Amino acid sequence: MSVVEHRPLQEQVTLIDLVDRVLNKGVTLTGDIVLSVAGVDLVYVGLRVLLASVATLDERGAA
Amino acid sequence: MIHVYAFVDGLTGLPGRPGVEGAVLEEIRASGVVAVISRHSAPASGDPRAAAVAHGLVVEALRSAAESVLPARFGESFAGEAELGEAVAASGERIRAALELVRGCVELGVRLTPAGTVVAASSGRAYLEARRAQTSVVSALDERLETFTRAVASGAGERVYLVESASAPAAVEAVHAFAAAHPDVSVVCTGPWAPYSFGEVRA
Repeated sequence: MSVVEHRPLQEQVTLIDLVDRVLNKGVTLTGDIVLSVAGVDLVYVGLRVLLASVATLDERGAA
Repeated sequence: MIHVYAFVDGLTGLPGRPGVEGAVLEEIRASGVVAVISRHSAPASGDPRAAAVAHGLVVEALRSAAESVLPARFGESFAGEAELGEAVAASGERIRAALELVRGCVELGVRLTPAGTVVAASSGRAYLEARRAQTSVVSALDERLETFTRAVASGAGERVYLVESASAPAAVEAVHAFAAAHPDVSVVCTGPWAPYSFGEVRA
């Protein structure tokens, strides 16, 4: 799955790197971070996992 | 709920942009540390990708609004100020030390891939040779950036350099010069970013 498939390559790299940093780096105070999308808890273990999970949810929602 | 974007020091003003899901940004003091936050009546329910980007853009905007910015990982949220204060109090020394480390600094991310790197090596020797080549290239880049580097971190195939903001353009030029001198290596440099990779102070 591509998040920004219609954007120039440099912008893709920048946006993906930004989101990767936001999800995987930064100071934590609470240990594991769990967010919920459409009632399904997602543990952010990595950008690819998040995107795959959201893609799956999108497909299920469209089905 | 309180969503935390970053801990800061020397904040001159909040960024003129909205937070996650369009929320208004605030600065609050929690256990002696200033945090940039937004308040939400319920857990975020919209597109998590848009929320993550909004979080990241606020953090990047803070780079020009504060002397020291320590980004919080996306998803750090608390029921209220009391809960945030308790969490900060438990980690106050670590946060203050990290804020000092990153004061006036940004980070640059560099991904290096030597040509011919064997990702799934067919033999132990091929694997070790690939690892040796990678280590050698990383060491050469470290040496090239040594004069700019306040701290360095590694992770997820990326080498991350903490450099003073004023030195960032020269450090990027040094990475470009390194790439030109090593045409056999794929070099991808991103940033400057807020210093996401230095929340844990290392000696």
